[in-house]
Amino acid sequence: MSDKTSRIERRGLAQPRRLSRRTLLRGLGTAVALPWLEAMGPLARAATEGAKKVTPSRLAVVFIPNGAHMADWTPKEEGADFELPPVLQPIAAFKRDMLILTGLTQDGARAHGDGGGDHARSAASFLTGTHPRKTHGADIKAGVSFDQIVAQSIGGRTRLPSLELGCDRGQLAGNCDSGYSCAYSGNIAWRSASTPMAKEINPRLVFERLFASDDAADSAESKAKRQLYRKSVLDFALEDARQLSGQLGGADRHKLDEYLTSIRELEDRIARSAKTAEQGSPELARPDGIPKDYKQHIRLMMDLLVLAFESDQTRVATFMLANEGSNRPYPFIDVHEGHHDLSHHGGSEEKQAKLTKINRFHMEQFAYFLDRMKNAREGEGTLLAHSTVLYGSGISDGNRHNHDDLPVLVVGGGNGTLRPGRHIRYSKNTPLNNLYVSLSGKLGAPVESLGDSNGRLAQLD
Amino acid sequence: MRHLADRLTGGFRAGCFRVRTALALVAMGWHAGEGAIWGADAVPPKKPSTPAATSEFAHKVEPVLAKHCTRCHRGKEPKGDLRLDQFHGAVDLTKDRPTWESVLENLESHAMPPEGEPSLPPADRQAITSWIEAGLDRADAQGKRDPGRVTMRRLNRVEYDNTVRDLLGVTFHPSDDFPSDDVGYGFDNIGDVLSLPTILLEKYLAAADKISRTAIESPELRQIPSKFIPAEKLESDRKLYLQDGAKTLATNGTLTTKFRSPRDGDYVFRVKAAASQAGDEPARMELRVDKLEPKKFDVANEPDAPKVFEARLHLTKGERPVAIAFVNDFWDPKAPKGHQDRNLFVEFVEIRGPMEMDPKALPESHKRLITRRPKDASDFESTARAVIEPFATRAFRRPLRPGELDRLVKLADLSHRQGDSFERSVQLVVQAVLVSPHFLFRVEADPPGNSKEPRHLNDFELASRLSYFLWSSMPDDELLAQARQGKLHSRDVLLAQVKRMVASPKSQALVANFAGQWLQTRTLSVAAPDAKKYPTFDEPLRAAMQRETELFFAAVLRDNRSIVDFIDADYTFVNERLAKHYGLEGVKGDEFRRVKLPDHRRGGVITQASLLTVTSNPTRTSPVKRGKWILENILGTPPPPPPAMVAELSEDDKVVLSGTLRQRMEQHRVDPACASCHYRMDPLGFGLENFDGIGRWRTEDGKFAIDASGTLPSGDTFDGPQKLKGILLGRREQFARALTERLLTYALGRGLGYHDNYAVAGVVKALQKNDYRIGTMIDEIVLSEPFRMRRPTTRGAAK
Repeated sequence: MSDKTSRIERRGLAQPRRLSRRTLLRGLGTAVALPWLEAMGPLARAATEGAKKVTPSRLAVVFIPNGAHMADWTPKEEGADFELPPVLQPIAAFKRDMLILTGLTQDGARAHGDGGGDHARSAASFLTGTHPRKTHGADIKAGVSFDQIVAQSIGGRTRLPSLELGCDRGQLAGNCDSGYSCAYSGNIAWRSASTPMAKEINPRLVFERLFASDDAADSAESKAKRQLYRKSVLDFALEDARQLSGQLGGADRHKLDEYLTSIRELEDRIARSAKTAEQGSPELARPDGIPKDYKQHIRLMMDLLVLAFESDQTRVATFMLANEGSNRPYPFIDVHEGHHDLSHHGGSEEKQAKLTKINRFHMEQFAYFLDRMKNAREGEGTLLAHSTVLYGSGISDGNRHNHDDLPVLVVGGGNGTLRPGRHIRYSKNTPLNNLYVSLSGKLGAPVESLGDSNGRLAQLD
Repeated sequence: MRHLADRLTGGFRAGCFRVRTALALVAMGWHAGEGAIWGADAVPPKKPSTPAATSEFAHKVEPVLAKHCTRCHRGKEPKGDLRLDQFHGAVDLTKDRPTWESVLENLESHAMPPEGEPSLPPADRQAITSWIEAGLDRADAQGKRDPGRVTMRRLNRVEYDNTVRDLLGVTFHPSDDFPSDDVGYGFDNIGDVLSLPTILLEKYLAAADKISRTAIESPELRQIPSKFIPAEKLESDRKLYLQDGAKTLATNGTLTTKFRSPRDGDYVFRVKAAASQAGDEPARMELRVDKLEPKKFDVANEPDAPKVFEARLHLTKGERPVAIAFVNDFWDPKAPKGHQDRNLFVEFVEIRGPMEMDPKALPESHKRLITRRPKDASDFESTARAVIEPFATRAFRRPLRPGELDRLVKLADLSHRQGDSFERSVQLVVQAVLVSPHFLFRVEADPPGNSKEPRHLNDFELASRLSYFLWSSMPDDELLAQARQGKLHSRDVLLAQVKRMVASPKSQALVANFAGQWLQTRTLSVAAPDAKKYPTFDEPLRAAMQRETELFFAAVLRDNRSIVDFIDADYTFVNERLAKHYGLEGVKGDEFRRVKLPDHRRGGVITQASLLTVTSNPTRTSPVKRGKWILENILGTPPPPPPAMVAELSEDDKVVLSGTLRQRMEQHRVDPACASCHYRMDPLGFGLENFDGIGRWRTEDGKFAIDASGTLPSGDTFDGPQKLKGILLGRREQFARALTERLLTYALGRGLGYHDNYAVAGVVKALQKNDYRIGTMIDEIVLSEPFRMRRPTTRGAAK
């Protein structure tokens, strides 16, 4: 044995420890074991559950605030042969995966006699295509959003019908935008006309929600017992709510309905999870919390989003890179002014150049996300090929607050339903919601109309 | 709440967008010498009540409605659910008050008629609004007042944490994991805005689970203390390699640590390990704890499949060494590749225990809740009843209703029948109570029957309104006791309770939550002044700014001082860091202290660094934001929102450097669409230009001298913050009204409507008689009808 000792002392080597196959999560600075991921994936699960192997379609929506500098966004050429303008250059590697859709309009974001408040309206109408009611709080009303329409149809097949992510928490005080409740500018996903889907901004909580809902203490009880108790607790709450509903009227009743809807959804989830085998959590260090660095924050959320898709925790997600009207400065790319402040550039070239910088920064993060999606293999293809990824804003030029000619991209193959790699220009005032009506069918959640749609969007496939 | 001012303008109109308020202000007292909006008598001036008041409708209103409104608002399915074609002749608007208030609101805001419809001539608009306003005033003065209706309020994040703290003594903040609550009317406690998406219910369930386990210890789900020692913290007598979180024992040797057991008991040692296999036996590992018999393990699993090896040992109290030993190293270079080397890899050692519950070490919350335990199975139900009832009563903030206790006991019984301990059963009940709508919402149910008469809240509802207003938490035992005795609603008891509650440390919640939102100190936490432009701004300064404003508000509250201090005061609170920021000398150390301010340049909330910072942009001040804040919060006359699609101020850096921001903004105001509001906002903001974007005093901006002079629409002129504050001090009645509106909104958790004018006027009147003391404001709000009463549903139940 002394032979071995001296060898180690001489060369400083012991036989390296072999690790199980892992996929590195760069943003998380950690790794997840591939066998786990593969076991969680929809194809493997379909196999173990004896179901038909069908690659599922996913929908991701990435939202940017305050519009974009359109002169640096819109390609000059149409069709498949186009040059990428400065803002789109960071995603050049995905030129053949993208559809650049020019000329779409979100009419609901326009004033229609309601005066100022374009920021709030643009977020609230972005995926709903409705004109939100102007109110500080009473009678909040927008519409059901596109992602939720899809989630209501295909979300039942995964543990979470949809996942809402963001980087900014809701505003802490004061008014958000000209007489509009902050619910409008801080949410793009709406379950019903009056219930926005609150988003998660803390990576640790996203992780726990996706993968680690059962902590050690729980495992002392069997899964069956845990589920029995959870169900009993929900039943108790449901009965309370039922008895209460007879005593309430007006808006109170409405609040209770929100509660009931949520209770039922959780009951459904328990029923679904009872049917599937327990998968455990991935071998993954939990993220600590919200990174101070904005770029790290975005990327961590993107990592988790990709992981959620890969492990089939959900098939529908929205991600607000910032709340609408965000006045965040970007000093790390030498933009010291607030984003909203800058977006009112008044024609100043210097300010426009800074806006382009911010737009490019967001696009670089988007490129990171697309890269992760493209590198995630699934069956014969990639996650990106099986997904529809929408990227855009409900405002075009932040200076004018116009809601026509919106910056809109659709990236991904849509599971074979899209023909990407083109720049398409639509006629003036074509509703953005026409895109949603078209995509809804491609995602297996067909609707005939949504919000202010007046047809389908041509040329997507 | 602007209507009141508007009402007195008497048809004053301009051809610009929504300038009614602006003009109202001009017409009513913003001009020097015209006096305050509210005179000595704070009750709204009454219009003469004419016998022909009802026929006024037939003559003046009905024709306008017919011409402009009823084309859409008619029939069985009227637009916006608002039907206006059924009113004829002698109409009593008090019978359809919500309808007419809605009409008034829509006309006031020019939301109606909508774009694309023929516009309503000013005189016609006026005909309708005056008729409604006169009618509403008459009704209010005659006692047919509408106390309003608060939408059932979900506990917001802060309220949830505080309530759980007061209910169970759990001091961690479960709401840290909840999504943020949306803000409406400037506050995050507005019933209409507090929604309940599924993600939140999911968090409530998880929180209830965790809270129940923290508050009560059960043998099943006990949080067993555990000490975790990762490989890198394990010591050895020679240098070992750390790879992928594991330490490698490549030859026989030990990894050591020390463990102090807090008391006698059983402890479980868990070692996660793996080994590369070679030779004819598996790797052997020993766990050596002090002088106890070593525990031996065969580590036969390969390096890519680490396993946890466990041993349970009885230890006495005290510190002792712990070692993990590799005892059968093997190496044979001649063996086939992959079978030459036997090494042990250790990832961590975890020690859990003591495994037994210690009755002496139970948490306070456990002892308070589990007041007795069943002696045997026959005793279970009655014991469960006795334990659950007081808890659920406090959690629901009212006595339990028939059947409620039975259902909770049934839940405990379910757990009991599963073979659980009593403690585990109670945990389950706690969990259910914490997700019940009666806990999560503040329910004020409508009484049975179809009465449309406003009702007084019962004493339990009132206790909750009080405690969530002043403490952002549940009622304490005394409040509940007063409610139980049916005494709370009496004026004297109510006021005595308010006094007690304000004096309690829990009223800090009013500072953090009301002031934190009114003065936006909460927003300070996300303010991002540019590091290049403001190199002195750092976290200690940010914290100091916030502390100053909190301490200042708390002092006004504690000492029952005049709210006028908010506009201007000769004292504030600073530590060394903030004093330096303010240019004050002689303050040393991190402790905050009250200081007398040398001049009136600084003093009052408007000139505190916190507010000056949150109303600035990252790289510069924003006179517009500052002016707007004063208009909204000091004068209570918010400017209407800017017109849509108007290019905003164009001021690139060049301009700031070469000309002045002011010149550029004055240009902006040439545009009549902008002028109407900016001539109200901008001068106020420019009066504060001596304070930079983080609230430091300055006399120059770049190369240019600061010009902090201004002329208000009233014609009043000023130069600098001191004079500006002087003018604002002259508008104290207006400020009293503005602050009353803010505090009432917060207290009620709803936006105010026309029908609240009467109550607001009452508070302001009392303030005028009591030197504007903040205590009077709180007392009068608590005594007001909107706070103590509630209107039943008047329009059909929501779908």
